[in-house]
Amino acid sequence: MVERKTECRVELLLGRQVRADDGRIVGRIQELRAEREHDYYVVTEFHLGPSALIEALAVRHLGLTWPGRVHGYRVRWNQLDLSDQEHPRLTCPVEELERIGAPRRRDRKKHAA
Amino acid sequence: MDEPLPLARDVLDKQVIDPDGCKVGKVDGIVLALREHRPPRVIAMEISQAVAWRRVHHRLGDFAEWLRVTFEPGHQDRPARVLFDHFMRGGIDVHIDISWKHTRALVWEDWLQQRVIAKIPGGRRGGKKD
Repeated sequence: MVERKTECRVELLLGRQVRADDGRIVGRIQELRAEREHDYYVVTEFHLGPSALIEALAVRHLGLTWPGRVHGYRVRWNQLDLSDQEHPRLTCPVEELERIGAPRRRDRKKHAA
Repeated sequence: MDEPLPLARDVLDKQVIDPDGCKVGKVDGIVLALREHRPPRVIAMEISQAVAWRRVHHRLGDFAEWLRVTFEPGHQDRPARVLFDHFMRGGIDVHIDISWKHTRALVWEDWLQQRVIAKIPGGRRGGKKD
C-alpha cells in the first residue's frame, strides 16, 4: 500500500483553535512535543490552552490559577485530527484528555504500583 | 529515553548554527509529514522570508514567495530547507551537523559577495586581512 503523505507546518498550526466533536472550543495549539523514534523525530503530543502558552514562552508563573477552570490539555497525536489543518478537531471526548499540571497517566500507574 | 523536544519553545524562531559556529539563519518554519495511523514525522526546518511572512498573512507569504522565486539567484522552487536529520540540539540556538555551504540559506549573501563586495577595491577576501 502506498503511504499517503501530507505536509503540515508547525508555525501555521500554532494558535489554531481545536474543537471537540460537539463543536466546543477546547483550546488553541500552543506547543508540540517531539520525541526521537529510531533516527528521526515524531510529534507525540500537542499542548493546548494558556498553560501550554506559558510553557512555550518558557516563563515561570507563580502557580496561581483560576479555581475550577482547566488551563491546558495534553493531546496525544492520535487524539487530534489534522486532515483539515485550519480546523483541527479532537477524535475523542474532552474528558479523555490529560490536563496540563496533572500527573501523567504513566506516572500515576507507577505510583499506584 | 531522550527528553521530549518542545518544537515551539526550543526550535521555532531560533538561530541556526552550523558546526563551524556560522550563523545560518533563523528557523522560520518546521515541516511535518502526516502519516496514516502513525505520529507525524518532523522532516525539515525552513529558513525563508516567505515562510516568515506567511505567518503574518497568507497573501504576504504568497507575495514574498513570488519575489523569492522570481529574483532569488538560482531560481529554486522551494525555500531553503535543512532536513531535521541534521538537527543536533535546540534551546537558545539550534545546532545542526552540516555546514552552511550545503544549505541554500545564505544564497543572497553569496550573491552579494561575488557580485558586489568582490568588485569593491580590497573586497575580494570579504574584508579579511592576511
